[in-house]
Amino acid sequence: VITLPPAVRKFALTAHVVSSVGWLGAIVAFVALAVIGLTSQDAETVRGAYLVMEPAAWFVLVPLAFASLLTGLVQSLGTTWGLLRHYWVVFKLLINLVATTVLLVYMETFSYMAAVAADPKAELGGVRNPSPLLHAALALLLLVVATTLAVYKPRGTTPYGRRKQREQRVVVQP
Amino acid sequence: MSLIYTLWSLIDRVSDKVPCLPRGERHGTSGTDTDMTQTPEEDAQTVGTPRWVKVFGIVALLVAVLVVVIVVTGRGGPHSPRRHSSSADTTPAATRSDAGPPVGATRTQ
Repeated sequence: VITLPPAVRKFALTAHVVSSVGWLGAIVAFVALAVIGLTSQDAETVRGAYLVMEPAAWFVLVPLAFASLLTGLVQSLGTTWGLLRHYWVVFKLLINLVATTVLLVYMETFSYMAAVAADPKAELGGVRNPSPLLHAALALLLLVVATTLAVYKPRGTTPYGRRKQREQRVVVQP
Repeated sequence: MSLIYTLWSLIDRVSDKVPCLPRGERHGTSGTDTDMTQTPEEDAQTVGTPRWVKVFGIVALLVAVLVVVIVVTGRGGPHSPRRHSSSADTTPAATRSDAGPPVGATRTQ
């Protein structure tokens, strides 16, 4: 673990909070888009909702997901929390990795739905798709759990963390 | 909900039988703090695997099994996760050569 200077640590923490909460907020906007796509009676609005999802995901969701992951890695490796020493940090890392992977895989589906929405021959019933609402709702749940873990920091040191702690005690008190 | 409650009760009973932990630590009801920690040094005093970690682990395992079952059986229908990894033709009519131009193309002058 490389301990960052306090000023750099604060900056990294700010960047991590901004990117992670920004990602969560962007997903809330996607939930709204998905609901509009499923419920609006206006055909242009429905097609527009599915057309805008793909570029919005590329320009907002994907950069924020990677920013959250990278700043999280810096934050954990640059402080005494470490990356694999405390269960809440490990769970946050897993949540971030799973959410980012599913997002990248789902980009193909965004592309598919945009192409259907752009097809003037496609009926409105075929354009509407519940999949974005399901995925956005699950992503929202995951990120709320990650945020809660970050705020509450529930107790629990991994076996690796306990071993490292013992090693440090031996070094400090020879 | 009843499944989660049953799992929770089961974990609670198992953690009661773990001999290395005093009862207060198992339930987070004794000491000056609850189950929360604010510094790595505070957390280093924790002994054993906390109950919340077991609950999270079991829930994560159940979700992973559910996703695998949906992918393998294809029970998610046209919106199942299988579609993401499928090599089947998911190209919509709008992108095929026999289809008309997309909406955006008709607007250009």
